[in-house]
Formats: sequence, structure tokens, C-alpha cells
Amino acid sequence: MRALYRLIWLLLVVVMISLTAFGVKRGEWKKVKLNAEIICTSCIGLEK
Amino acid sequence: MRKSSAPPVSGLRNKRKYRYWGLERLRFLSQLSGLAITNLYLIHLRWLPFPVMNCYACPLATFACPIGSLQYAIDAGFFPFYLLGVIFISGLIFGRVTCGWLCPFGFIQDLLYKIPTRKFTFPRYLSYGKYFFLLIFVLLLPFLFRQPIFCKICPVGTLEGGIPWPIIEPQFRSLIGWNYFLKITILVGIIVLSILFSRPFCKAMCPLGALLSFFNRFSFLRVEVKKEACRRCALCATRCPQGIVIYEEEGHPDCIGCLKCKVFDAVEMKVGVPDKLLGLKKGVKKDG
Repeated sequence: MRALYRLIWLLLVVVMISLTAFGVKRGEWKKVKLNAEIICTSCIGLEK
Repeated sequence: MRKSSAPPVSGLRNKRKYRYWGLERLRFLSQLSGLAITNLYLIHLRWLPFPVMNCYACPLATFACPIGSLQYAIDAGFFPFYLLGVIFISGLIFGRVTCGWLCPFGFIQDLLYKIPTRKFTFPRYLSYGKYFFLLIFVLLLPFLFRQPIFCKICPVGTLEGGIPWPIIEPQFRSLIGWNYFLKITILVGIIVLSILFSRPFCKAMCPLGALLSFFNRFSFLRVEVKKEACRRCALCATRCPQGIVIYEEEGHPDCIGCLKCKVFDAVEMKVGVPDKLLGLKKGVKKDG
């Protein structure tokens, strides 16, 4: 049972790394970067 | 509201006292490093959503805010594989330990709580609030209105972006309106509550904490109870800033791994691939 839990956990890590790699391949990191570099004034309360 | 009944550390044996202060000093240094790393200014790694609450509108910010990025993905209409992958990998490895050891806003709340005044215990039912904020303000409302709604109330953004920008750039001052004052009011409320309660934002409002809390039961770093050493005296609960009775609730979603309970011999930080799901079995047998 303990070995099974360990295996499931490792499998989860592999799945998450694959998800991340898939996202990187789709260029999502560039979108995240672009969004983070633009200051959203309304998000920090600066809007009339 | 009940007054917190934490016993003074001086009441503990010397060994425990030194262990407590040693760990506390280490955590303080780690939190200080977290504050410095997330606000380096010169290095921009804004493609990386770092799993702590640190606003990327901050002029000094090094990383992207995971919650802001998640709302952006919902707004832009793409499924955030990369973002969720990074957050979930962090959750699988650290659980909520990043909240207790690295988060800058958690650190600020910890410092505020050190102000000597009357302290209160945070009502447990309010800790479900963070799931409400995650579901409604981070997922549902941004989907419906195509806007980062949580950012509009987030006190972290006010502190790290909303206050510095009008000071640095005078043209931003003309944009100050009712929303700005709403955000300032929320921030002041959180500051006042942080003096009276331990980490109120983390407990009741933090959507990142809500996301990471699901991993506390099976993360690589986790707090466990040595069942043979535990006497169920509940002293660990009196030290816990989250008010958790650790021997009854191993892997509790609110546990931030601060290790204040480590001062007692029965609690340990486990490092390694988990071989069980914490919290599903009954705890240790009661003494006597």
C-alpha cells in the first residue's frame, strides 16, 4: 500500500511536469511574462 | 472571541526554548530572504509564477503573481497548463510551507502580530473564506466579467503597487478614485486585524493558500506527529498560529509548516515521498 502511494505521488509529479512542459511549448510563459510586465493600473486601484 | 491562551516560552524547558528560538530565527531569516528574492528589482523573472503572494505591479517585483496570472488566463480565454503545472509542482513538493517560510505578505502579517497588544483567536469557520475567494473572486467573476476581480480587492496589490506607484509617478495620482480608497480601506482592515489575530489574510482570504492547501496531506515536505511520542496534551495547539490541533489534524489545510509546534518532541518535519495520505486515519490513542 505504501509503495502504491509513493508510485501515485511520483506519477502526479510526472503529470504536473508534463503539464508545465506542454504549457511552455504552447508559449504560455510568454503570455504570463507579457501580462506581468504591463502595470494594470485598475488592478492596483488606480482608475476613475 | 476568546483570548489566546499560548503559554510563555519561558515556561518550557531550556532545550525546547533554544530549539524554539533557533527555528524561529531560521524562519525569520528565510522570510526575510523571501521578501528580498521576490523584490530584487534588477532581475526580472516575470515568466515564472512564484508560489507566494507578491504583486507583480510592484516596481520591485521579480516574479509573476500566480493569482494575477491565473485571472489573466481566464480573462484571455486559454487554459493555463503552464501556470497550474508550476503551482501544483510547488504544492506537491512544499505544500503550504512556502506560506510560512517565504511569503512576503505572510511575513508582514507575522511582524504586525508581534506588536504587543491583546491577542484573539481567529474563528475557525472563517478559514473557509479563502475557498470562497478562490472560487468566486478568482475563478467565477473573472470568467463572467473578463476582469481580474480579485486584484481589485487584493490588499497585497495595494501595499506593493497601489501605494508606491502614485509616489514614484505623479501622473498616476490623477487616477486615484473610489476604488483606490476601497482598496486602502481593505488594506488598513487587514493591517489592524493582523495586529489582533495571527495571519488573518492567510486564513480567510488568500486564494493561493486555498489552492496549495489541497497538497498539505501528501506533499514532499510535511508536518507529521510521532504517534508513539505524542501524549495528546494539546500544548502544540496553543503554540500554533493557525490554531490547529496537529495530532488530530495531520496535514490540515491551514497548516503553513511554520514548525512552532516542533518545540514539542512529538512533532516532526518529514522530508520525502509520502507513503500515506495524512489525516485519513485516526490519531494516537488517548493517554490513560
